[in-house]
Amino acid sequence: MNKETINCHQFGIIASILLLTLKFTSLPALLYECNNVGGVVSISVIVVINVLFIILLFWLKNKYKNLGIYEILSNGIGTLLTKAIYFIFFVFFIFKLLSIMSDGYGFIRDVVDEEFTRFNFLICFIPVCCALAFSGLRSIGRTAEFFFPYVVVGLIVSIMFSFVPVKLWGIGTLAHGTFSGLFRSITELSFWNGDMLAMLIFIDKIQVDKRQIKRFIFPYVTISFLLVITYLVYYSLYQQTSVFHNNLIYDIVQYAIGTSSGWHMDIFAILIFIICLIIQGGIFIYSARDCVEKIFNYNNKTITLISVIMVLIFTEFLFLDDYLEYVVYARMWLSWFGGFVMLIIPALFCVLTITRGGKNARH
Amino acid sequence: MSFLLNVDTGEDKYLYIQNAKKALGENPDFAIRKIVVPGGEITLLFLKSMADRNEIAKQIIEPISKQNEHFNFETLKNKILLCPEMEHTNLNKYIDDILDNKTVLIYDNQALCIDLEKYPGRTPTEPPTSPNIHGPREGFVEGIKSNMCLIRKRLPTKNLRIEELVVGRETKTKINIIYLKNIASKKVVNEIIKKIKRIDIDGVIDSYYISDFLKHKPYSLFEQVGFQEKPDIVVAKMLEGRVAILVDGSPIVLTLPYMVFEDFQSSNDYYTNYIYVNLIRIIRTIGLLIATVIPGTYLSIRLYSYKVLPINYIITIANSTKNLPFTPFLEIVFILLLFQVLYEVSLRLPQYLGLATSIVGALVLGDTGVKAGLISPPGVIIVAVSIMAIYTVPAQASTLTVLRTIFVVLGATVGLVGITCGVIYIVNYVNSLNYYDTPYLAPYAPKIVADIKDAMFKKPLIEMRNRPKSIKQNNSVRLGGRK
Repeated sequence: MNKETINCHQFGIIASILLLTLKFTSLPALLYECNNVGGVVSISVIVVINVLFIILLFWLKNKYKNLGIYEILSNGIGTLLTKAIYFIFFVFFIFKLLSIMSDGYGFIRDVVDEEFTRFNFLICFIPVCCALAFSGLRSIGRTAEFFFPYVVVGLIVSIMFSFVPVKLWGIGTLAHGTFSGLFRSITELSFWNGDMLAMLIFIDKIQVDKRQIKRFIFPYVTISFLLVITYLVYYSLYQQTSVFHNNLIYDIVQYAIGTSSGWHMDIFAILIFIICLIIQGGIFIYSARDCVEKIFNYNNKTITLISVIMVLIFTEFLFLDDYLEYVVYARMWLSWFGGFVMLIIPALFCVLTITRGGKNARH
Repeated sequence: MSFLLNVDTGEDKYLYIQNAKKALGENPDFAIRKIVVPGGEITLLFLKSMADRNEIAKQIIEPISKQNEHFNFETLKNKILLCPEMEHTNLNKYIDDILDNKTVLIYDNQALCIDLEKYPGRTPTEPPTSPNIHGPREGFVEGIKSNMCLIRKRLPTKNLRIEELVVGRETKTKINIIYLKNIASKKVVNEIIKKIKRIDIDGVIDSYYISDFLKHKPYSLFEQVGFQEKPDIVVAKMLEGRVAILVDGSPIVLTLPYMVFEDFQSSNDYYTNYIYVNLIRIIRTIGLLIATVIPGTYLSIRLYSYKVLPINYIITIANSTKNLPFTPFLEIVFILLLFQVLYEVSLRLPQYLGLATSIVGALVLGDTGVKAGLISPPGVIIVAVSIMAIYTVPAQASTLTVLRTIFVVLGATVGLVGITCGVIYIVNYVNSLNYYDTPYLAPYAPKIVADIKDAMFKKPLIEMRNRPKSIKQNNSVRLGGRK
């Protein structure tokens, strides 16, 4: 196995983590704002959209075999436009990283340590994500694979902590949501989705074996199911927890103290969010680095990584002065950008594949 | 014997002798013995300290002294001498043979190299670091021949292959690379041989010297080579497709490829009920976590995340730690340092002083330190538990000690987040290690379902139909005759 390739199981786990991480923090509260407890329907629709994207990935993989998207695009639309698309990808990943950092920092300050400084967060987050990105996709895949059982167990434990006092089936989820609310929640909060676009960047490094597809499906379906359940629990607890609702997991484990004899052991269950956060950060830095390599045709791993980090730190100081403000900014401006990237680029691939029929495939 | 010692050692007649004298110099250890026989003279060259004089007398001198007629070299070699192990040698090689503890016999301008070496060695006993309740108790010794014998008697198969190499400009240490031809991957064997052949060092004192050259990342904290002291474990590993490396003078046998979960397995696990073994392996895993992260987690909870604990525990800890002269970080560092010093001292002190050290360590430093208000009881408990827990996985003790120190610093500076980040960093780092085509964290990363039956948990032997897929090998079927 090549140092830069991942197998079907690791692909499934990376897809699950990309689906999960940014849905854990402020998104459920924002969905509630748009669509009331119909946010469960919104998240279900988002899960379905992600499934469609996965199908698109498998379709592209089947058509182009081991061809990377840079080759697919440059063969179809020329090198200059391809580089422009890679630049858009780069900007997208940098803002995604900022989202992760703002959500992550907010989570840590609210849940783990209220005196945690931004500087502490940066010296923890950036070196570890860089180490992941630098070690290559195979290491990221294996690390995600190693921690995945803990993520699943942590999520289940978190749900269980809060399950005792919840009257889950009495919330009338569907009745409170509206179609316009659903549409608004998906479009206005589009930047919280689309993390799966990172997988386009390394599509040529995924080894898809038809006999192994079930090893992809199992983790992905498990996480999708747990995500919807977590949202269901969250909305059923919504009125009973804190007024700020910055963190889904924190909100749902508010009752854990009652069920664990005064021990706040829930903190160990909710630390899984940090694991997801760092793995996702590593994937985005890896993808951003790949974009820099392709834009400048420059293959020095260290230099490209340093340039990504410098841009990231610069934008962090520019945009992340207050992480709550970033949520407002992301909702107002980045939704347009996110929506554009998430619609136009997959559509472009569909058009190119249909018109050219994957004839440039490298077998 | 007296016959041998009374032989005249006058002027050298042969080039062999002149060269040997020139090469070895005025060496009191070097012996040249000449035996006059009908029609000629036989010369024996050997090192007094390494040759078995009784065997020389019995196997060489006695048969020769019985000859009354002239005989040629071939007759001497094939009919007269009784030695089981001898071979023709030549001018280019015989000095090396002498230095390799062989006796060189010169007759008719030809030379024979005879293996009659004898050197002090101990008998195989149970190694102190891998005691067994059930199962074999033999351990390797320092002599490579004895160690080979311990392996060979367990593997009397024609598939056992041995590659002999010599490393060390001065020590000329013998190294045997042993594997099962029908199981081990030829690619791995060749890579190991290539790496060992490339070693250019003055001396190899122990197998650890070789292990550094077999690592892909020699500066890494993590072990990349397996160290074994018992022949039953080495044979079991060879049956899984690994290669064993024996180094003369070392009771430690190296095995490759290496995966970290090997160290969670003990030879006892294979001679005990598997359900009990599963329980023990869970305890080992918990032990590993306690050993590595508990002091750091304790510090981070005390310093930053004290709300994790129920209020009565917070009060207890607050009462125990009030009026301490040190900060929590310094207190833990101080206790860790104290325990580590005691550990180092107990390793080097004569056994009869061990009890005294325990008393000084436990009573004087521990109890008195607490009573004097220098250290707190929770701190002592946490560090003591952590140090004890390290020995649930003794092979990883050195790595875990370093990791524990790193986590203490992380816990004290950035709290639980730092520890979580540290764990992710370390897992990612070891995931990047992929030596001899074997993933370091296999069978969990990457997940190899077939190998999970003997990793953190263990299934009964009848379930282990195939050899581990994590290790590259030629023959995966292990258990036949049962579908």
